[in-house]
Amino acid sequence: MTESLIQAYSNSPRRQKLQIIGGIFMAIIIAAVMLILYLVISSRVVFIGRQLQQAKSDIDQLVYQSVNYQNKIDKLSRFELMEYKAEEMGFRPPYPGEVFYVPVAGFEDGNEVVVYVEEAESKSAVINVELPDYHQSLIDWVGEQLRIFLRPFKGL
Amino acid sequence: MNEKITYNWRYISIAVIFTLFGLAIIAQMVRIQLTVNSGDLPVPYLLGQWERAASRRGLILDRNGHVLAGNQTVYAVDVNFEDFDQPGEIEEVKTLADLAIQSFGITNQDLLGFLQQEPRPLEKNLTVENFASQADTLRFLDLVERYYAGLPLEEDPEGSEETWSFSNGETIKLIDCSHLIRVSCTPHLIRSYPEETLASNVIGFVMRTSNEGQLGIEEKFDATLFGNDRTWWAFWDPHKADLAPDPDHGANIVLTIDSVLQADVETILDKTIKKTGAVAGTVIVMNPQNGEILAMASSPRADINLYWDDEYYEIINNHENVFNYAIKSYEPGSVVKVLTMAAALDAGVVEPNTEFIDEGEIEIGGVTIKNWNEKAWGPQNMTSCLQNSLNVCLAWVATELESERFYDYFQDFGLGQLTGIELAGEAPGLMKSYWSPDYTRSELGTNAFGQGIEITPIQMVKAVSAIANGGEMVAPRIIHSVIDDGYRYTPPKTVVGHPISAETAETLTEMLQQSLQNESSLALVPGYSLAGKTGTAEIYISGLGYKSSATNTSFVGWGPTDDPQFLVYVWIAKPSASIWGSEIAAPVFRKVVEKIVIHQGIPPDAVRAAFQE
Repeated sequence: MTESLIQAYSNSPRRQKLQIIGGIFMAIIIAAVMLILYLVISSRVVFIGRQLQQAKSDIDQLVYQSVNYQNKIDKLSRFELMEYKAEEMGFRPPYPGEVFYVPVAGFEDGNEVVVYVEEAESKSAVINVELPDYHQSLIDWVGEQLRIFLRPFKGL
Repeated sequence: MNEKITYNWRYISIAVIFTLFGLAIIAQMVRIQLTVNSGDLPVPYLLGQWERAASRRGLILDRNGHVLAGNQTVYAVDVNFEDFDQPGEIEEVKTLADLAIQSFGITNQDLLGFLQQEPRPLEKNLTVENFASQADTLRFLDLVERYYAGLPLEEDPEGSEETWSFSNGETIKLIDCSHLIRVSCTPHLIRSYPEETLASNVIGFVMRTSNEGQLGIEEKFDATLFGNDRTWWAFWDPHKADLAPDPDHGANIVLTIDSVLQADVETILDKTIKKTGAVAGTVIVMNPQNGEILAMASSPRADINLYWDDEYYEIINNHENVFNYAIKSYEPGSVVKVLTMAAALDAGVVEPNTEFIDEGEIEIGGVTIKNWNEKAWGPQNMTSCLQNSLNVCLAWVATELESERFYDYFQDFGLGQLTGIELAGEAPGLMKSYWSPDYTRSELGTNAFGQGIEITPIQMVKAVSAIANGGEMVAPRIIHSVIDDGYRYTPPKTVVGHPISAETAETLTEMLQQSLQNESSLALVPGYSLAGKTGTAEIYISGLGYKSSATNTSFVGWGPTDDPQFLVYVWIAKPSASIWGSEIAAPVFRKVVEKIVIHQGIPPDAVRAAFQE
């Protein structure tokens, strides 16, 4: 196979030789470009992956921290402490005979639960991950990288 | 020619070198392939570590959003006692052990023994504290870093915290010990109860070691509160970063309880128990129109943050296995007369003015039943029978109903059945059926006034809601809603039957209101129309029978009678100051109602009438 290729090459006229050489070089260049693109994209994926891992770690840390802050707030606003502070400020609970009731038109005190959240009927699917890297096409990314690369040469 | 030979020699030399180098590489590759066990090789794309997600247990909130059960971050602090043999390393390990003892106040004898052992045995990672608070962990890390920096081992009040910066420049402090070779600190979340003892009997607690809910809401809704995927295999391969699941927090639960009212009711209950020398007690406040439990106090209580503490262990793990007396069954006594009378009125066997001559005793099934004072009360009507709480009269009423109808009504009221309240450990109670082989007719008489029958306070609340609520009986509920992923799921009000007619309910309410006023009960609150009934039950002592020296005192009442907003049940067990429900439980009802009307904004009857005009 190799011998026949070499023989064919040696018997070819100059133009054909140039075409073969050109074809080989073109193939090498295309392969090199694809390899470079693969490496760039691969390194980019790794970089984003590391960012994602770091972000998740940070989120965990923030959850742990916020849970502790919430716990501190809950302990500082516990009923016994609030009552003690109110008494210290000179307040005391009223007795039934001491309350003066005033009718307010349109006001309804139904002692409703005051934890406000949306009712479950309106639930819909939610996309949690909104990283632009996941939605950017390869052409967009190449264009963006090209713009970044050419930015210093602008105005020259 | 010579020049050509020289060049050939050079080419051959280079070719030989490259060939040898290539052969060496091939030889090495072959050697590795032949000698290394493939099973020992790490698989790069599978490398990783177990990680615990920061999934927090769902919160338990009161109806105003006040946190009754939250979470707290603690740290599992490990010290690596592996591979040390040099003098410097021995000193290092000894110092780390001493600093751990100092920072975490270690008292566990096994652990202390190991940490202080000389010479120290070689051992792998040792958890010196599994639930270290943030402050203790910071103190320990600060001392460790001081040791490695060669600084004096004095505690720094500022600590050695890392910081995390927000995009707006604000920073928060984090704990990070990844730079320490022999120390690791892994954060995890545990339950925290900021209100300590408040509503502890309702909430239950979470075991630290197993992370499982025990008793109350925590046990009943363990799966809902828990969340999922607490740990996962975190790949180091960044291509798999998106496989790591987000923390899956448990759902939050909103209770119907109002913690301010709960605290007031608990204070009243605690003072009563202390003052009367009682052993335990419970007070339930329910909205009879929708079944929402506004307060459920039970005593004794425990600080559920310290459920393992000696002080609270006996309260939680007592011999009767009762932590919440609101769902424990007992013989309630005369409060059951309300249900007996309701059944008789509804069946049409008596009317409010039906006359009964009380001769002081009545024989049913071979057993003589007497009144509480063992005296004859002479001519009575049904209202005065309730007002004077006459056992003989109510036993006679039960005989007029006959067993079948009497127990059918009690079945309809839900006695001896679980109410379905969302609390773990609810007792079903005990009510015999008239067709049971061990049933005797005398039980018809004693059951009519609440002896020989076991009922839970929550069952009584449910049953009496039918009378307070115009014949409509509602299921008591303590869960208002479940909030998961930002959405609320609210169970609807559940009507569980109409054991009596609206007319019967209205008539009986009037009778009970009148009887309270006639006896100038200690339960009355000036300005408010209230209906209610006391109860005093002798307690059965094994081997001795029923003894009047030890009683269960109870009271059930509701108001305002024309538009019931609250239904209150009181049970005080074994008071020593008095044995009577009218003297022990009735004043508790009054004090609780005084708090309810203020807190719920319920004006006195006259003011409400004026507003309506």
